[in-house]
Order: sequence, then structure tokens, then C-alpha cells
Amino acid sequence: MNTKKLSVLSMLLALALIFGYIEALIPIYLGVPGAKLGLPNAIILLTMFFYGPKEAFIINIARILLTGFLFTNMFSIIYSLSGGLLSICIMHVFMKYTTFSITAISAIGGTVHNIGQFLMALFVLKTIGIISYLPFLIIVGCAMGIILGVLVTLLIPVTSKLIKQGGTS
Amino acid sequence: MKTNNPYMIKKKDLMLILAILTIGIILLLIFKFAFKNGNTVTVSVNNKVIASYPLSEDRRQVFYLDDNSYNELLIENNTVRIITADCPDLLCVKQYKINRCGETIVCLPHKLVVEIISK
Repeated sequence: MNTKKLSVLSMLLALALIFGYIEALIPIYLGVPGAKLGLPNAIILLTMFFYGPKEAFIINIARILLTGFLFTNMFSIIYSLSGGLLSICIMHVFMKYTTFSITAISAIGGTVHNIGQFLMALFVLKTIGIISYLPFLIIVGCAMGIILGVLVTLLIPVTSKLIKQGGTS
Repeated sequence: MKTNNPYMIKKKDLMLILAILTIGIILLLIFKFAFKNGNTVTVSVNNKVIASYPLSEDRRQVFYLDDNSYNELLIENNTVRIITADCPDLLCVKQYKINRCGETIVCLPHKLVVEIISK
């Protein structure tokens, strides 16, 4: 990895942290204590588009750990990790093998992110009662995904020159 | 990027999004009508039930835990919610009231779970 790529990735990580901070400021209760909206997924999606799933994994894990220790708590880390990693896997499969647009992939990613958080909550809390929140998690995740997807679609032409200059090797 | 344009939203994208939302709405309707209203509230700490009250009687109860931290429960109008607590995130207080079988309010820092069951 050359230094230019490293600096671009660091910049993306910083952006993801800021998105994570804004996300932590928004109190939304979806039945799973510690569940989050998924704002930094926009940056993760951007990273996946320009680089690939490996870099997206690294940035996601790094920002989850950093955001967790800085702004939130242990449970948020666990939920975000499970949601985010599952989301990247599924998004990568769709990106590589299908021809959906960025917005649709982001919608899938957002939904899977919340489903991942829900599955981890089932495992941690061991009560089935929270299943009544699953519909909300799916709908809100999909909606957030669409919003972020549109955002990323608009961002890509603007940032591609900057990132390409940074080097993609 | 192959022959497809990843920027434009095409019909298949809208179909996919609609499919996801439809699944969500179907689940919502299933859960809304399939779960009956419960009649008993149980409060558990560390997975051990420490109290159980009928949902029909209005009640206001404070639960003190081992280290002098507390959660205050309010049962009224056949619903239950947590009104005050001293946990750091207060997510249990922000949670909406529950009344259906299987629904829960969780206070993670205190490991306290309020659940509705049917006796």
C-alpha cells in the first residue's frame, strides 16, 4: 500500500468517525439497546466502491472500535460490529455479482446492518421478545440505506478525482 | 464498471426496495395481530424473576438493585413502562410502553428485564 492510498483511507476513516459521532447524537430507540442508524455506512459504501471489501472491512472495524471507545459503550461496539461486517459481506456479493445501482445496494446494506444488530441482540439478551422490533428495524434500515445510497451516488463523481489522485494501488 | 451504470436507479432497484419494504410491512402486520395482550408483568434481574404483578392493577414500584441503583416501574392503563432510573444511558426510560405478550423493556446496565406474559 503506498502512502497516498494510506492517507486517503485515513481521511475516509476520519469521515466515518465524524458520521459515527453525529449518529451517536441522534437518540433513536429501535428496541435493541445500543442499535444505531447506520450513518457511517455511507463512507463504508464509498470505500467499497473505490477500493473493495478488504479496505471497507478495515475502515469499518477501526471506526467501530474508535467510536465505541470515544462516544458510546461496549454493547454498541458489539452490535455495530455484527451489523457492519454482515452488511459489508452481503453488499460485496451484490456489488460483484449483480447489477443493482448504488442506491439499491445501500438499501440492502442498511437492512442487513439492522438485521445483523438484531441477531446479535437475540444472542446477547436471550429473549425473543425483541422480535416485535424486527419490522421497524427492516423498514428503517432500508429507508436509511436509500437516503445514504442517494447521498453516495451524488458524492461519487465529486470525490472520484480526489481519490483517484490519491492512488488506488 | 461493466456495462451497467451503477448511478442510475433502474426498475430492478425499485423492485428490490419495494420487496424489502413489503417484507417489513408484512412482518409488522403479523406481529401486530398475532401477539395477544398479556396479563402479567414480570421483572427479572440477571435472568432471575424477582417480581410479578398483574397488568390490570395500576402500580408504581421502585426496584433497588444490589449496588443501590434503581429502576422505577409504572403500571397504568394496562401498560407498563420504566419512568425513572439511574443507569447511565436511560434507554429503558426512553423506551415506549409495552402491553403485548412477549414484549420487553430492557435496562442493559442493570441487567433488568421487564416482560409481559400471560398466566
